[in-house]
Amino acid sequence: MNINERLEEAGQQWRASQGPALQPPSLGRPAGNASLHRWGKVLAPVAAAAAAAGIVFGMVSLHGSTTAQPLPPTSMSSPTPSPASTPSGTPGVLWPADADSPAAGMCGGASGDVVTVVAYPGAPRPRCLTVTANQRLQVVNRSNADGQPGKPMTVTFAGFAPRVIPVGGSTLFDQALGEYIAQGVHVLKISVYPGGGAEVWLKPSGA
Amino acid sequence: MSTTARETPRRLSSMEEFSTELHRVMPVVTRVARRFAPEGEAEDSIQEACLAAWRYRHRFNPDQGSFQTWLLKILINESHKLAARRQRNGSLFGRLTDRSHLATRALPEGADGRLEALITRLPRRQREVIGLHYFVDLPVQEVADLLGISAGTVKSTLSDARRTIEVNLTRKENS
Repeated sequence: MNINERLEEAGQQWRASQGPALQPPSLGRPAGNASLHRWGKVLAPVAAAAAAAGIVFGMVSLHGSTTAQPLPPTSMSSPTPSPASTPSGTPGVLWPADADSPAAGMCGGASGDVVTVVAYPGAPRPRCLTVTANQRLQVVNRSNADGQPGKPMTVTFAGFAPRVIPVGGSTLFDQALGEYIAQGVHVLKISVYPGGGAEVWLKPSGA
Repeated sequence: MSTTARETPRRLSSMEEFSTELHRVMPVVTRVARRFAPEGEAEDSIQEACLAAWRYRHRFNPDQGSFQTWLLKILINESHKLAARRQRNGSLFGRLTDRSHLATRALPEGADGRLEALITRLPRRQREVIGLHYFVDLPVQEVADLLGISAGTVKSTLSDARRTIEVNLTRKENS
């Protein structure tokens, strides 16, 4: 067998071993038409959270400043903060989606029990992620990639309290996504990105 | 080797058309990503490439080549970016330099490991041409369009690469 035939045979074997083609990312509807609807959905929980924070702040102020202890430094940098490991919403009620379709326009899927968003300098990867109800979400702080110094980041997702991830650390939202978020697009807010962060799109099963 | 005629270029006037084109070319796109993206990054590189293609779809000019070729160019660029990022990050993969990524992959059952190892040691352009022509199964003209070189250059690069592989194979088998 000459080298040309050997390469052709190797190529055929390689192609046969590759399995089916990957699915392209889903094309979403541009977010422009849904912006008012989207803002309404975003502002409602923000307003509720602000009201709750105001009440708590007022109670603390009335009770006396000595009762308001600063958080220990370790709790600010813990990749898996235990006090906020469950969503703060009403039990049994799913956290509403921020939008029906992703602003990114396109959204790729990921297989496996845990789906990961990696926060690199400049942009998270992926920017948009299609998930299923039984998957869990993990966020990794790689802001120190590309020779950057990196910095701790705060991630906020659904009804969870904000989590601080140290450089190189990660946090896992250790609950199946379908148990606490409604179908639709949810913004994973990451403090290092002025624009927000990544989008997590929970689609109906079989979609 | 594939001898199919080159596809007829079409303009992408709507999201549906873009999506249809995307689905049509996904088998080839998948092969290129699996061949050229760093280990475990094929899906990410496809997503980045598709996102960039969608964002800059107005730049696609069917007179200058097919949608498949245009998307594959973006995909290969994204794959190089991912490989460079890994290299800069100082990971084990990066320290081995980007040409080693084929060697670090788990080879499929029945694969010619000796041949694959020799391919990874070729210069980048030769590796690309061998990968696109023999493994992704693109015709010479499409490889030329994709890499922005002439078909004659592709043929001579293939010839050089084959000769290098053959010499090294003979040397190994004799030693």
